[in-house]
Amino acid sequence: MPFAERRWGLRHDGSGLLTHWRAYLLLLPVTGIIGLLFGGGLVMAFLQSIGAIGLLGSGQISLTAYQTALANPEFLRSLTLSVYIAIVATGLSTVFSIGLAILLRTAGRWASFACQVTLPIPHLVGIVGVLLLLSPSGLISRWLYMLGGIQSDQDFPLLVNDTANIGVLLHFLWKEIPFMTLILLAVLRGINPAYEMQARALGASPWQCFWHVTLPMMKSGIFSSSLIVFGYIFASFEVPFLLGSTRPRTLPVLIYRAFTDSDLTRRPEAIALGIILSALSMLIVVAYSWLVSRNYQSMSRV
Amino acid sequence: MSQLVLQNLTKHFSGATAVQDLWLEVQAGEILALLGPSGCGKSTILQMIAGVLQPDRGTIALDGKLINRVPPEKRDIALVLQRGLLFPHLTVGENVAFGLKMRGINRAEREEKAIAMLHQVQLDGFGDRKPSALSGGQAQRVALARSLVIRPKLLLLDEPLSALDANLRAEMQDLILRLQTQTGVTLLIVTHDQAEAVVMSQRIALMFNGRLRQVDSPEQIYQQPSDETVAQFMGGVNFFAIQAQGQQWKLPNGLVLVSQHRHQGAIRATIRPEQIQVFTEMRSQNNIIPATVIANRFTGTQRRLTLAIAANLTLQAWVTPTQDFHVGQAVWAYLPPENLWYFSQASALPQAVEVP
Repeated sequence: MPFAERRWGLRHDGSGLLTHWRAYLLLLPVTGIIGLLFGGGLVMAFLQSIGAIGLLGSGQISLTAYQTALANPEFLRSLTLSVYIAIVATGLSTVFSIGLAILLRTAGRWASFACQVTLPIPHLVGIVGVLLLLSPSGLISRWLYMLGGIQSDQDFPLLVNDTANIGVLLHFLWKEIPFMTLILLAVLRGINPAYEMQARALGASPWQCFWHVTLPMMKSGIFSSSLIVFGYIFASFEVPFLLGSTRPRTLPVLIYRAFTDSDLTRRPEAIALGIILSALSMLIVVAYSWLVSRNYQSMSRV
Repeated sequence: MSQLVLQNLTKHFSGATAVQDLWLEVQAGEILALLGPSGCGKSTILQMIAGVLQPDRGTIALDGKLINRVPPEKRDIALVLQRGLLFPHLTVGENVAFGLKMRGINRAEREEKAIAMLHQVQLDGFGDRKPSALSGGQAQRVALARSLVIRPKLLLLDEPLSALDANLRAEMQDLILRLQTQTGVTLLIVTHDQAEAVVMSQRIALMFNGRLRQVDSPEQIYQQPSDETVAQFMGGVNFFAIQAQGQQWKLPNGLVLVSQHRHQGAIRATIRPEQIQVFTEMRSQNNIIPATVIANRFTGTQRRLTLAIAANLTLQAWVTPTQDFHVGQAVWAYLPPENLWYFSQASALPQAVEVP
């Protein structure tokens, strides 16, 4: 098939062009809404950040807000913390979810149902749960005290609002592992088990079979679900705000603080930080997709 | 020493019997076809031999060694499943080299062997393609190459050609037989297609409902089926109730046929439709029966005649297409005594097996 035909779905009678664009036309309502609400918001925020509009906008375009935001010594620390939490939580969720999905592969419908139990629970409820369980005066601390494991609540390790953000990570694992497992379980159940049988019959040990056949065949599910989880955690506000370390703060928390500062002149800086966060998120998604496609090509060479 | 010996092999799936007390012996370098209708337990047997399924009872021995507890990757047995099942995330070359990679063979050697094997299945230059870019026949050839490259002692093919069209199937049959001759590998083919089993194998093991019914050469199974079900499965269409007195076999309409086989009492007799000869003129010899053509169907390679020899007694005769007949024509059917076969009601006994 000539290139143009393949690329554009052109046919000699010209009907291919319509077929090709029909898919995009059908997507228009959803892309329109997203574009208008999200894209419009982004444009407005950008205009505010450069001082073109807004409460303190002088009409003079300047990049002062960005300079101030980037010069803030807390910016880099916050960015590092956000990336750290997102990478660790996504990585651990992915590993645990793959293991769990494989364990539950042959289980009945109850497995999928069990994975859905945590999905409708709001993050705030989860956060309260973590606080009630893991804070120095929480349930576990009290049980340990009653059992004589600790002498006072001061002996209980700090697991919420701690510098290592253990509470934040635990909350994200609790919420994201079932979500990822649900997706991976569906992917895994869609794989014909005969592929694995074939691999074993060609000399693959159970581990080799998992590594060279099952895992690569789950790849698309793993990548898409981990990307969703990473994107969500990276930009999540309420979890690090309520459970995270007080200093450094994650980027979304830093933005919130700047935005709600009594000093209204900090608004443009907060908005500039928001724009930077959005740009970083998009950059990470693009880089991740690129890495994944490259990795896929070189994953299992001869 | 025989290569593969299955003794008393039994497998149940949630109460249903898939394979029951199977005894079978496959000689080194032999091509044996496991033939039977869909769901008769053939694939289950292959999977148990390959080690991806555990038998409930019975033993599997390869080269005199019991391999029941040997994991599949250590059995030196390759299995080719239906439709080839190439790993979609690997290229053709990577698929072929898969078994070698699992055995820890270095990359240079893997590539060299994979390229040589692709040449053997006439797919030179296909190494970098993805399985999705292959036709059904090409995919099946890659699957074959992938199995043979590891030099297995035993190659198991599970309905390898069922998804291919007729022309391609004949081509693939030739290729498989040629590769088998080149490598000398012992071959066990599962198929539900009796024509394929006959063309490809030296011996056929015919199964129904998880049990072996007859293990014989294709000629033997064709000419001397062990029972009526076997005969029907192999394309037999002529069956008669006979009262035998030695070599004199009396048909229900009183006509007497002469057979080479001696028997006394009630039996069922059969003759293959292609062995019946049809004449337009009377000949004075035994086993000539007057008949009327009641149907005449041209198939290209044959002319299939249905002959009425008495009320409620018909005969099918498949003659060369050059012979011309018309419906209503009076003819004489000749049933050669050497081609008349019979069975009593007893089923075939399990094949005798030498204990290794």
